[in-house]
Parts: sequence; structure tokens; C-alpha cells
Amino acid sequence: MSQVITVRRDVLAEAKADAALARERLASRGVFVINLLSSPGAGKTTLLEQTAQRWSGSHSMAVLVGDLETDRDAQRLAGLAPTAQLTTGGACHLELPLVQRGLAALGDPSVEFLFIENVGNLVCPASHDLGEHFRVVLLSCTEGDDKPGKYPKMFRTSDAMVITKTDLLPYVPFSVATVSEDAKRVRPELAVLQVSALRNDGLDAWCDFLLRQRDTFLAARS
Amino acid sequence: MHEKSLASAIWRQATQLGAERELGPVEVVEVEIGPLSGVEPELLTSAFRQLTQSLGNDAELRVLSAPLIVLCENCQNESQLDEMAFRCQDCGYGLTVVRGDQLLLLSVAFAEPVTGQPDHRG
Repeated sequence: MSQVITVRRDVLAEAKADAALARERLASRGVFVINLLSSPGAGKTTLLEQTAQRWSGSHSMAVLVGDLETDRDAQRLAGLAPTAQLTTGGACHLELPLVQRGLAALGDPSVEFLFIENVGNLVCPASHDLGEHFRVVLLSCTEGDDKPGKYPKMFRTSDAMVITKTDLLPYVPFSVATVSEDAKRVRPELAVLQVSALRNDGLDAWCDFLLRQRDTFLAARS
Repeated sequence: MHEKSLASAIWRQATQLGAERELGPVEVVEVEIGPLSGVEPELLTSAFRQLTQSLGNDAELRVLSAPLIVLCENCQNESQLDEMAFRCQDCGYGLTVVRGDQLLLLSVAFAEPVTGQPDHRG
């Protein structure tokens, strides 16, 4: 006769507890961790290049870059901020153990901002807690303004959405109002920003926004 | 691809439970998946079957569907969401998910140990 054991436990409970520990450990050292997500090509690495250039000499940051193959993104960022490339081999998303190995490779720096540039993918990365304090999803103007509702878990778990490549707005059927409304339907508290690296628009505002988020976060802890 | 590692985690947790209590082989594992769990039930079932077959086991994975239940922390009302709209219809506050965004291991059924000896291979 069968014996049935009742469990009622999250399968990912241990992974989530590990992420919470990592989150707390870094917060206690003043490191604000940002998980950057998007489809491939939405502009994550470019946004990080622009951020590093603006903060050179004023704010400290480090970057962990996730990709299936190559270290192209790490090479782009190498001269601008301490960077480590995380290569997943085939996995379509980053997971905490790989992030922690990357952090160790960087020498566990006590920087103000640690950016984790996730693998380009709007699906799987949404389900994995990397110990971040803040989650930012990028959506470029060429991706369509109907995407948030199609990827509910990604937008539901994000704290901010950055609309990128706004220099293309005159040429594509993309409405900032529509995409903002669609995203806020899933996540009412979502902050929405707009940037164009090509035209140097919105990047100072993005940097200020991050500084405010970190300040608010640290103030809430004390 | 994601479902493969979840199937492994489920199997590990189920067999560990049996090992701790010196029970027989895993027969049935019941899990719960909701609309925001980020897991596709058929892919998970398939990955689980592939894994257990490769281990010479014929344990079954049963997936139960959870509804999406949300709480308005302002009104203190819980309700079921049938679409992905997370503003409270009464007061406009953002809603919090209470159920339907996890992969829950509900229960594990174990067969009798073979010939009175604990058998928890896997």
C-alpha cells in the first residue's frame, strides 16, 4: 500500500533562500544589485557603456555579463568598469551559482552598483532570482508596443522598464503611451524611462533614477 | 530546457524525502502550477518522464492547476484573477500575488519497500 507524504513546499524554496542571503550580504556592504533583462539586441550593453561613462570618477560600478557564448559584451565594457563574462554554454538564463562565481572572479568588490546583464531572453530569466535588489527590463521601439502583456511574468517581476532606441520612434508604429499602459496593467508600480544612446537622450535621467533608487533602498534599511 | 532542471529538482526532493523516512520507491509526485509560475505543465511532465525512465523508474508526475489569487493590501480583499490586470478594481492599488506564481511540491506517494528492505533508489 502506498504511503503519501504531504509537502506543500515551493520546489525553488532553497534557491530562493540562497538568493535572499546573497541579496542581504551585498546590501549590508552597500552594493546595490541590478538585474538587466531584455530580448537580444534591445540595448543592455550599450546602456551599461553609457552608464559607466557618466559615472567614471564619481560612482563605482561592476558588471557581470551573461551570454551563451563569447565574451564580446565583456570586451566592450572592460575598459569602462570591472567586468566579468559569465558563459552559460547553452542555458538561456543566468542562475545564482554562476553569478556568485562571477562575483568571486571580480574579487567581490564593494562597489555602489553591481549590474548583472542577463542573457537576452524575455522568458526564462524572469523565473530566476539572482539576488538582485532591482530588476530592469529593456524594450526597444522596434519590438512592438504589445509585448508586456505577452510576457506577463517578466514585466510582473520588474521594477522599471526602459524604452530604448527612442530615436526610431518617428519611423516605427510604436506608442510609448500604449506600451506603458500595457506594462502597468501587469505591474502598476512599474517606473518607465525612455533613452536613446544614439542621440544621447534620457541617459542622465536614467543615471539619476538609479542613484535615487539606491539611496531610497539604503535609507529604508537603516 | 528550464523544465528539465525543475524536473531534476522535483525528483531530488521526492527521493530525499523517501530516503529520510526509509520508504519504498517513488510512485506519484503531485505538484501545483499557476498562471505565473513560469512553467509549462506538459513540458514539465515530459521532462519528468524522461528523467525517471532514464533511471529505470516509472514514477508519475501529476500536475494540478492553481488559480491566480491576489490580495489588495489596501482593501485586505483576496480575489481570483482571470486576466493579467493587477490593479484593485475597488481602490486602484497594485495587487500582490498570493497563489499561482510558484511551482509547489504538494505530495509524494511511495510504494512499499521491496522485501521489507528500504528501497529508495534514484
